[in-house]
Amino acid sequence: MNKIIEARSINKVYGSENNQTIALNNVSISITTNEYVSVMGPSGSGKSTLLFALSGMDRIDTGSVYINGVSLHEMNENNLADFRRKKMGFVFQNPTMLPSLDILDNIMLPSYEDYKKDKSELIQKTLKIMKIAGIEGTENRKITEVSGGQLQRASICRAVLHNPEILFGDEPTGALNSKSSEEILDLFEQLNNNGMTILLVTHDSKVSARSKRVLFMKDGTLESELIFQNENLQTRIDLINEKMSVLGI
Amino acid sequence: MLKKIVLNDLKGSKLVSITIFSFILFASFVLSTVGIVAVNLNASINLFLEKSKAPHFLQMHMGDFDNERMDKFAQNNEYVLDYQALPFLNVDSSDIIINGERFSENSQDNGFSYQSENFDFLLDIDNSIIYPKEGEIYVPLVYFTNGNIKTGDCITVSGLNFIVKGAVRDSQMSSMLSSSKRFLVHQSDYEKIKHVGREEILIEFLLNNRSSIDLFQSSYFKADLESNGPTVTYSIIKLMNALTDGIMIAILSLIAFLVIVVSFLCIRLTLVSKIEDEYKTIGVVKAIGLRLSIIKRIYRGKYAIISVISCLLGLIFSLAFSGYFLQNIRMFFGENESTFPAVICALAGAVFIFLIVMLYVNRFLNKLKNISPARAINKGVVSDNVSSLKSFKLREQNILPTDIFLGINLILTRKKTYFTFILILIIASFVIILPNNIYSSMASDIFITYMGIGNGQVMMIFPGMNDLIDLNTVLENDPDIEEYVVYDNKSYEFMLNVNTVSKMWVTLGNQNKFPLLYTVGHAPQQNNDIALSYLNASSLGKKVGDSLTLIIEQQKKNFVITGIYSDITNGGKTARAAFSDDSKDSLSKSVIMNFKKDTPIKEKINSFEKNYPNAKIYHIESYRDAVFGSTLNSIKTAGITGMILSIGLTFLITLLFNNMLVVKDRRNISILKSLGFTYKSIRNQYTAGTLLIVFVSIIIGMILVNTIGQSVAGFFIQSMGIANFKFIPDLGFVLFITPFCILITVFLGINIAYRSIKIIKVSDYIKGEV
Ligand SMILES: Nc1ncnc2c1ncn2[C@@H]1O[C@H](COP(=O)(O)OP(=O)(O)OP(=O)(O)O)[C@@H](O)[C@H]1O
Ligand SMILES: [Mg+2]
Repeated sequence: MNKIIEARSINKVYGSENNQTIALNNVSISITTNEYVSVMGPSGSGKSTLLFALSGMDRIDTGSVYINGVSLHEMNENNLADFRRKKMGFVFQNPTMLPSLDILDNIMLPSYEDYKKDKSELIQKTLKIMKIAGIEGTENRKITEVSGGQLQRASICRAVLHNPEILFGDEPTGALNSKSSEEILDLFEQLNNNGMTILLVTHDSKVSARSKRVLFMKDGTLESELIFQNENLQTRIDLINEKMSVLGI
Repeated sequence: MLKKIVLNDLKGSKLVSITIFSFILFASFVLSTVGIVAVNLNASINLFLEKSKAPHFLQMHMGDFDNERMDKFAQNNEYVLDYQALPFLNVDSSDIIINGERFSENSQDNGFSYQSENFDFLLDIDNSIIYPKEGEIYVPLVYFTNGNIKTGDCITVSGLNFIVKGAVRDSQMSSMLSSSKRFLVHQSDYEKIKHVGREEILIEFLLNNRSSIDLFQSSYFKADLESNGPTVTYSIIKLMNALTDGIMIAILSLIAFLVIVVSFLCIRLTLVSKIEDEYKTIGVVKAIGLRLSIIKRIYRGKYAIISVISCLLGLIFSLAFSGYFLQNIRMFFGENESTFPAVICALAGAVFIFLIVMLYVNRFLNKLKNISPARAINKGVVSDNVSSLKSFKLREQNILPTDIFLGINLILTRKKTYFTFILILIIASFVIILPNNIYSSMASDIFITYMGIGNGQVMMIFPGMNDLIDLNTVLENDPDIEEYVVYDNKSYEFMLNVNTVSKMWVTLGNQNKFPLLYTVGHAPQQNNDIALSYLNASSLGKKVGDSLTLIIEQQKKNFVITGIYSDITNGGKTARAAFSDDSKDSLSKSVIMNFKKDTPIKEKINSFEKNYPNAKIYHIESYRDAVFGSTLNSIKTAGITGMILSIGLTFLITLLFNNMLVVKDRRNISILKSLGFTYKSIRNQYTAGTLLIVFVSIIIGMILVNTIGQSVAGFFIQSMGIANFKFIPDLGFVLFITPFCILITVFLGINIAYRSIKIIKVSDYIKGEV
């Protein structure tokens, strides 16, 4: 199996000398292609920091991160940006959309440069994905004219439109009600089944139970992990909760 | 907690606070200075005109003069308080020797006078009446200030030596707008040099009441008295004296106005973005039931402190530096006796600025009332004036690169945010272009036609000579002359109304060659056509198509007015016609000519001067420069000042505005970054938008200059008798230099401001969101 992401003893410290927070403490992690991994941990344990470090959006202090065997450390800002645009997709807790564009333009924005020659193809593709995500018909609306759940689904459409190798999510369902949440997790599962690697950060065991591997974080270190085989959902949730209470999370 | 918020704000926004501080300081400095200069100019001129007892009505006359008849007229006229006839000896510059060299200042009609007995005194620079001893001479002030002559120099006229004792302040002739200049000598010396020049009589009247000047003027003309020469009245004397400094005041006022506007925009800009930043805080404050008035009080306090200090400093600076602006006034009109009114006026200026700033801040803070706590907390941002445009979609356009599209889209969806910036750029281009347009217009060749002189190279005036050797043959046979026109200047009586007769200066000749600028209608062609100068037409209430009755050979003859032209010669009240009339003597003849290419004009003028010692010969370009030279210089100085000021301002505002913009947009920027847009690409987006704005603003600025700017400039220039003034812009400057300067300035500004885009981290603005 291919290692799509590999992090070797990464460290990240915030703040100045007398007021330091160790956000990542010697974290090593490796994720293979087509895995579906979630990271759990209490607030402030460094989950978001880890995600930003692995995607190259934030610089780390020491250690190294490889994506498909390429060291992020050796890339400059522009290469990193290109890399992100072509190979990665992101979904955050709150939708990050530009208010000056409508829904369809927002979704197509990062892919636009690559499809300049055949825009109609891009539009067709986007409409198809929007249909899968259940937000067909909203393409001409402003971002203030759709619900929070619809906007989040649009964010996911944007994140997966260019068919990234890996999808990062930081609490992607955090702002949604349980029904929307379920629908989005279904969408993730479908994407994973089609070959996409997914890394989610969450503190919700109902969310992490849908992934195939769960990593537990505490005070900037990776404490433990669970790997699922064919357990049913409720069993997985119980296993996760059990693990968390053991770890004191 | 609230105090902390505002204190942090003061600390955090040093750049902004300092900018606002300096703008207010500058505004109060300029306005106070305007106050000081205006009060001083008015007071000094009044004092000077009072001390010199300037005449209310002055008729220059060359030729025979009937003293007795004039005495009788003056005694019997109900309006006259005092009367005198003062000789003025026109002497050719080449007959005036200064320290052994010929006097070079020949664009002016130089002449000699002795001190008058009753009024129209010539004063020294302490404003006391000069009584020169024999062998002493006092020279016109301009020659002192421009360094041509200094105290102790030796002036020789027809072998008689004079020692220069000082300068003459001359209420009528000090101004460069007046073409004559008076040298003052003792009466017995005057008699000795009398034979060198031609004597002209200044017939001067002091009236009981200044308001009766017009009535007196018509009674004078009706009496058919000596009138071979221009007429000058008190108001023209005052205007001529005030013009140069008046233009400075007008320009300073304009600058003050613009600086005030810009300060407001700056305050607005900072408050708007502050309030948007603090929107959530304010919402929370409201939601938990705290009183908004505390926030308002603290902000108000902040601006009160800033503006009190800056207005005070502005006032102090203006009091300290007004001397510089008063130099010219002091030199030409003398020290004003009381400084108190000026200080009051300056204080009023500073207080005015303070009040207006506070009113503005207060009005703005009242908008805080409209913030709804619910919406502020929920959305966290003011609905932000952002709206996506229905018709401007990324997917529907094929021309623009994505970066440029996004940049333009950003602006089109946030017009309100950009409004201030656009306004400042418009003002900047306006301030840069307007003075330059005025300058280039007045300095252009065509402008001479606004002055009532044809657009030729050389003008000759032969005073009162019908018996001149046949001028036409001489000019016709001169191989260097390309073309020329000879005009006859005659004085005609005309019917002011059914039974009143008045007199008018009429220039006869071919009006098609070297045409003047006709603001309405066209040049007279037929024998019964006549054209009037703008001032003449407006004082007679005549328009094109009206008729005018002249009296020629005791016969009334009707003329049709075909056109109205701009003229500032001969007091601005003239007429032109195409007929010829041998029955009446000419007051003078004038010639305008153009030379063939490569003719050495200076040498030509010298040889004419030798051949026609009586003629006045002007190189028209130099003539214009002499008349408008100081005005042009004021405008040029103002233009350069305006340009430097605007560019500095543009730079500062560009920096400030775009810094704020980046801070405001940091969320948008981090979204773009998380989507894989590079720093360069995001910077290009913002740059494209800004350059679009610059482009649009400059075009709007140009349009405003040519509409509002032209009307305002035309209004001032009209007071000199120049009607329907149209800009003759320096296209290279307007179309290339101005946009280039602004563009470079903005480009530098955004380059610095947009550097902060680079350091915005995606994680900081996306990660920690609630
Ligand atoms: N920019 C920053 N400056 C200083 N400290 C920071 C910064 N960002 C995060 N931290 C600290 O680093 C630690 C890890 O933060 P991180 O955001 O990764 O936590 P998290 O696990 O994502 O928490 P949550 O579940 O609340 O999102 C925390 O203690 C946080 O206070
Ligand atoms: Mg987090």
